[in-house]
Amino acid sequence: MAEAIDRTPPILALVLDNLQVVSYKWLSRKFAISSNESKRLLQDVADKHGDNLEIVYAVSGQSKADCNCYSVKLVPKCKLQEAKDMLEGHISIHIYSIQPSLPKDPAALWSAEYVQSEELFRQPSDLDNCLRDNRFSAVSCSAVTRKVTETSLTGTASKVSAKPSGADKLPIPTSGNKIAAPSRSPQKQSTVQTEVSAAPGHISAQSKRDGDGDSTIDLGNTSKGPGTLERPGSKPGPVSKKKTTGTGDGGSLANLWGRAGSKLKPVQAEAPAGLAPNSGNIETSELAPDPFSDDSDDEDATHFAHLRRGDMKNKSKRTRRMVLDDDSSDENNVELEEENIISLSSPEVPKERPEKSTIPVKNGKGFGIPVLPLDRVKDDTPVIESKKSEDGKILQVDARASESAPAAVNGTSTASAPELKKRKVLKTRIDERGREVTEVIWETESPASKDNKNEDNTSNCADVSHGTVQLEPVEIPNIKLNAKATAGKTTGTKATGGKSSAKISKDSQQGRISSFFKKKN
Amino acid sequence: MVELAETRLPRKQAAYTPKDEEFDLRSQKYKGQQYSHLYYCRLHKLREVLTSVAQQSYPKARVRTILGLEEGEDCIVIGTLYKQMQLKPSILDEYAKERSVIPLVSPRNFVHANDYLILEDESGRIRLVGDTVFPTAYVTGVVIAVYGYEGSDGEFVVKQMLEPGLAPQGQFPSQSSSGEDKYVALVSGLRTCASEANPLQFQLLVDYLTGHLGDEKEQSAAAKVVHVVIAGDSVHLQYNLLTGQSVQSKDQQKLVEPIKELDLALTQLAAAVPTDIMPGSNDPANFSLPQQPLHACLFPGASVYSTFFAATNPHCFELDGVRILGTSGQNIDDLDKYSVADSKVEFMERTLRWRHIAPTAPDTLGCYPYTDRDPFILNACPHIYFCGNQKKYETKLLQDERGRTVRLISVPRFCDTGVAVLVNLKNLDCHSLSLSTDMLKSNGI
Repeated sequence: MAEAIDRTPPILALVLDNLQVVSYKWLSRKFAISSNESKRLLQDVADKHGDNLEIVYAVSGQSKADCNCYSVKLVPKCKLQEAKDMLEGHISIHIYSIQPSLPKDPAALWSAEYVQSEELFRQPSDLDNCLRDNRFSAVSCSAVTRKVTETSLTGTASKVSAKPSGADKLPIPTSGNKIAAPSRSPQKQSTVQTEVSAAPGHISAQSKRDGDGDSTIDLGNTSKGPGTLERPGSKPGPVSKKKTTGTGDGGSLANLWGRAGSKLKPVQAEAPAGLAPNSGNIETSELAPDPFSDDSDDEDATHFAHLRRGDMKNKSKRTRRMVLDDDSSDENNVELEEENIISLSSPEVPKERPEKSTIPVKNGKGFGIPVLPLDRVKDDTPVIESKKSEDGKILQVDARASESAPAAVNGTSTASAPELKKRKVLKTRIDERGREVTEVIWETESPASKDNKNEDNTSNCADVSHGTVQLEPVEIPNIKLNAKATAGKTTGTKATGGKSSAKISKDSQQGRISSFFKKKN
Repeated sequence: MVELAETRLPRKQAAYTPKDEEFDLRSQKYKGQQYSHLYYCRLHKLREVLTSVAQQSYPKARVRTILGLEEGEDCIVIGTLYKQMQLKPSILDEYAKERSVIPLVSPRNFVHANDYLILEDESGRIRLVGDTVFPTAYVTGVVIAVYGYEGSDGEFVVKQMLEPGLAPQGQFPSQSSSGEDKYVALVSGLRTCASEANPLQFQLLVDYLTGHLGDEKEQSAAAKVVHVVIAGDSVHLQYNLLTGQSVQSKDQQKLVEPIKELDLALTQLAAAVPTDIMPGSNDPANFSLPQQPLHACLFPGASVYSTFFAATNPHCFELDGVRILGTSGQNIDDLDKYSVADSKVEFMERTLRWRHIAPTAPDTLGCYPYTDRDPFILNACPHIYFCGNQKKYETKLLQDERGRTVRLISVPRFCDTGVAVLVNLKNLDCHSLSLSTDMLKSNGI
């Protein structure tokens, strides 16, 4: 009771100063006392200061009107007697809550408590709190066990994925983690390769990163802290996760792609390591939200919903739209940095891409299959037909990487310049169901081809069909690859002499567009 | 935490055995079949029962098929009832009238004075006439035996209609079990986030059941609640937000909110007492009976408890050997549309006597097209039979001549009435638990 005395003032303050409803359950959770203790505490307060307070009692007993009915009522102080008269037998009375005034809507009594229990509910699922073990109740139940194991695992997993997503507002399905995991190994491999080709110093940095990589938080910090050079390599594991999350805007499918892309990106990034300060920043910016965004509640509650959302989006092609949102900012960038190729997957490092972009773009574009650029080629199996071309490319990339890695941002940029660039094009059209569909399409361009943008948009609008989006991504890689193997493949229209010279590329693009029209016509 | 050392009452426990396998659809494979199998299985299964019932009543009468009837001979025919109802909605009529200017009238009940019964077996069908035939009490899909003779104009004149009667019942275990009072709590129609639902009321219920509310005496009563069953319609989803288009994020919030709120309450419940939740007609589950359990993903908070059990819609389980069967109310609601009775409990009683808890499935009640059996046939009579989402609390202790005893309970919608039902497993006594905040409200006026 000594404690009770101590607690009276703060309770009064809550009620009278904060105008808050203090119910016995709220109080018991707040002060970590049992419900019954809390009732006594409230009774104390009411005894001493009852005049200033409105008190709601919980009155229960056998109903007089219906002997087969046990009735529990909440009644204000003024009606206490009346309520008692309606009951017979043993009548239980205790204070339910105290408040400065009676709320108009009784449900207001509930809301403070609800908010509190929601908070408890949001706590990590492996944590036992008073909501979860009912510890303040007067009745214990030995049959209750919480199997935190499996569910909690999924829960935590969802959290991991969700955190980043939270920042973006789209949660990522749990599966994301799994996907992310595999990505690491390829990245590492890539790092190794880069090491070989690139500077030793870089390697060390990477190794460090790898060590850190596991903890997401660390990553975020490290990514911010360290220079750009380290960044790309350093993130292998965690980065991929985050990136995926960042990509998370799209539906789950999109995430998959995004992840694939992300994997690649880091790898590529490594190669040019020094390249992109910008990219580094961007990534950091992406990463940054992670630590802050704590969505545990969301994931817990709506894990399921997330999955659903993902589906919905995929169906509706929302993925693209979401990307667009990000892109809107990018659009400008695109113009500004035509050189840079932006992958669908995310608003990410613009600079890195141009060079590496060939590979990453592919990945990002939409092959569900993560195409690992360097590693893959060497390791085993490029999924795409264009392997040969890829190899060629890869070789190129390596070369660059080696060049660029040592230090020079400029070097990389220059290297990238000659190559074809991919540009993100937004196309909007009205589909059969009257919905406005905006799609993002990557097109290869030479830097000169900026002019074409408008044309592209308009021209594409006509034809872009659902399938196209996917196709195009495929095409693009081909085009790039074309240098070696004219990827005649699917992209008849687009097939441009994928030669790296800017002019040619430009022409090719234009030609492609016009040819497109011709076809149509 | 030290203060918590004060003694806590241990909650009573009862051995819980779910018996939902009958209603589990996972073993079923849909291959485009229609419903004929279901009717066939039903008739086939209940014919055995009815044959013995009929022969006990009329040992000398022969059991005949409809095609085998001979005019004027007293005999017994067993078949499935079809109720000819002129008010029964027909999709064709509705389509035709939908196009016309005259608006469709949708009566609450489709019973009409001109309704009549037709008996059907594999061989044919025949109209039932006679003073003992009360079409209003029967519905399509019920399997019965009729004793009578074929009239001159091809009708069957019924002298008596014979129903299967209550199914055999397991031994009621009460006396053996030390005579403790143990209660099972039934509640339905929580409809969280519905405009008419009062969250404070529901919270009171949760507090009562979990042992927070009341003085020691009340808490000791709460400690006797060994099981809670939530019988359907637990959430109020805004289905109008689901238009087939992608859902806006703010709308997603609206959609998810009721489930979140329910999960929160269920978490508190499951942390204190074993809790079953059944899907209902408005819940995010399949439409047709048997409804499959609500997915655990909907309740990330509650589903981690060993005490949380997502059940099928007809839900059958045993507590300490007391067999309990219940539905979320669709079967009884449908009977209410196509037949007449004084109370919901009477409908329930009929389904027990028909040995079929959902005879109108698949005619007017959605139902999975089983091919191998009819899961709604009662092979064993429950000791407690409840039906959720009714207008008011009703109960009846049904006893037949062989001493079978069943507690029938119509569980009211909680959001409308604030009433839950507590049944004593020891003696099947039953009382309501009313939670009310009305006196708070009236104060303001």
